[in-house]
Amino acid sequence: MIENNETIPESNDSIDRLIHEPARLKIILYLYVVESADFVYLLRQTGLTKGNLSAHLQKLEHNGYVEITKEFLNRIPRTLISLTERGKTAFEEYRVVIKEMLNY
Amino acid sequence: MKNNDWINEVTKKVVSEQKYRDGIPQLVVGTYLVLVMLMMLLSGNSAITVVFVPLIPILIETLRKSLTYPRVGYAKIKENKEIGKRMQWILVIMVFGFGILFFAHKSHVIDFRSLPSMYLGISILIAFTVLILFIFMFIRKPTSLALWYAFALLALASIIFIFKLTKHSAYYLVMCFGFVSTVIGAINLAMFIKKYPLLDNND
Repeated sequence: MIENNETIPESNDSIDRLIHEPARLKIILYLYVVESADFVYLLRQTGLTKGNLSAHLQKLEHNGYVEITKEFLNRIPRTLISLTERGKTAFEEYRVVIKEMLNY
Repeated sequence: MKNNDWINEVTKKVVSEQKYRDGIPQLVVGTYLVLVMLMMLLSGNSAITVVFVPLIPILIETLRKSLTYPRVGYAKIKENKEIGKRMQWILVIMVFGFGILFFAHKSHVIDFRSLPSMYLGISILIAFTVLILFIFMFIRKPTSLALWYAFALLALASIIFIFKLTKHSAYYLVMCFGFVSTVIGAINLAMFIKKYPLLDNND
């Protein structure tokens, strides 16, 4: 509850909206703790539908946060996704911002 | 750093899932123990079983490629460089330690021959298990599965030692342990396959 003398904090515009979306936050979190993961892994971990996951990955790739490579393993196509340096930095900055907000 | 606590928790969950949730390690290790004990009962020759040890991780990975990864996908876990360096030092110390033991035995400073050979093997097994536990504590906290195996081995070795079981009784005891591990692994694998059906072609 806000007391009489307490100032209301201004809205913080430094939140990365690309990461702040719940589905993309989950994707980036799981990519952050592994070196790389395939599409099925992210599908299982995030619980998203295939279309939804594809769309979010496209957006992240378009903004340079993830790198997507397609390869063949025993003649079976596999999509490998990994976080770029830019994506890692963005996620770490996001964590700092959220932590500061929650500590207020 | 407290900031990284929840990231570490997620990392532990990811690593634990990747390594143990399909039950394949328990299944393969248990089967290996049963087969090794059978070979020792039938032929009395244990040396050849060492050849199969490097095949265990290969077999686990082969089974995972056909059963696990198509169901839950594949994630490459990050290498912990700090742990890698510590492992190198530990390997150096272990090689050095075994070298000292070998020369001590050869120069009769320590006479291992005074012990009946089976109990010598068990003494080494107990020491080795304690050493492995120590290594885990030094490098990282052991997983509950690793602890389960370590304490089960210690308990088995202690039973054989305390009750001075004959060679064949000891083999049967270890075979039982291997059988239990195989069954637990098979049950875990069956539950895993039921929980995670194959997905359609996702690309």
